[in-house]
Amino acid sequence: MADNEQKPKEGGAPVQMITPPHPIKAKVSGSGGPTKEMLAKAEAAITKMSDDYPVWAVKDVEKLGDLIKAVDPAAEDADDQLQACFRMAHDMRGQGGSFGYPLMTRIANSLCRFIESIPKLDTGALAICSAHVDAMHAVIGHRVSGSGGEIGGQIAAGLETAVQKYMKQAG
Amino acid sequence: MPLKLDRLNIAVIEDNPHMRILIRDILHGFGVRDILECNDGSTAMQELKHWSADMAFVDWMMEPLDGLDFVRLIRTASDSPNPFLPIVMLTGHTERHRIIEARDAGVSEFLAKPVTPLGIYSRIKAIIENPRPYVRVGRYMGPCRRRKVEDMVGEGRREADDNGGGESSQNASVEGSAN
Repeated sequence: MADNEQKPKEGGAPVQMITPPHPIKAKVSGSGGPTKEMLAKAEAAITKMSDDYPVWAVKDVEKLGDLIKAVDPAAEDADDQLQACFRMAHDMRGQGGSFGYPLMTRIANSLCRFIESIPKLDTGALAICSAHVDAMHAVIGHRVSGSGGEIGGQIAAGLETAVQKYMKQAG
Repeated sequence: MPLKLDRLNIAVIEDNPHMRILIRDILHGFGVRDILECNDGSTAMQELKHWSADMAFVDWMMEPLDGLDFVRLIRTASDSPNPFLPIVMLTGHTERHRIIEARDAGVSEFLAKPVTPLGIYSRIKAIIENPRPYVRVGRYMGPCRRRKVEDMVGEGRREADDNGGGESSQNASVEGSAN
């Protein structure tokens, strides 16, 4: 470490400031942005995997659908069941846009937000969850990459409106 | 002249194999040659004792040891392989409170999914060119937290969208509570 100083913090725990070693600086030269060639290679990695994305995404959608169907609001571990759904949807939220399917990310994001804010788990809430899965099926089934255009926007907006309506009714 | 990254050792800790491969291949595209792949924080803790990483990209949601717990262990465990390891937290969580949670665990940079090549490059560049002092206070050990949340999310971010834009005055001055 280059230095290490103690600073007393008024009315609180002492603060130790540390300047850590920075060995990485010595291993890297240059300072600008990536060249076109570097970006092209990196983008090629995405393109290569985007072709396969629908193949595994459809399996993820089916698994998410099964998880949601298995949720029993009356079960003792209903919260755990719902959390399993959240984790799956959360994964899909991160993947969609990364592989050229931002509409999947938007729908999965809507579902994640909904699951996080469900006031009381009931069949109505699960129906909203299932509607998200149906929309994902449609997007992947029809290979709707990109934002999905006007129809894609309408599908996502419809789900978001359904969520808002449910939340309003649920108080 | 772009960053020449071929001498860096970078760990990619992500449980989803597709995302892990994507990040690995993007890094390869940028010239990084030595990449350690781990599918959870626990495995990474063990592997990093034998493999000297210059930085790590870490997913948040993993089992059995998630990204946040991994960061806390790296920063504070007595057997940590490197408490000062620069760590980029990768996550689909973009809510403001989540970013603050990650910062308070000791992450160096935050990268919201979807992943883009420019997003990855910009985090590497930030770690190399803007190293931050570390601080130890109370139970916290990690990069100094006197930093805007927006700066953590950085270029290429998605909106931190749980505040509806209503906290703009706070956005400019959010700091760690203890330092």
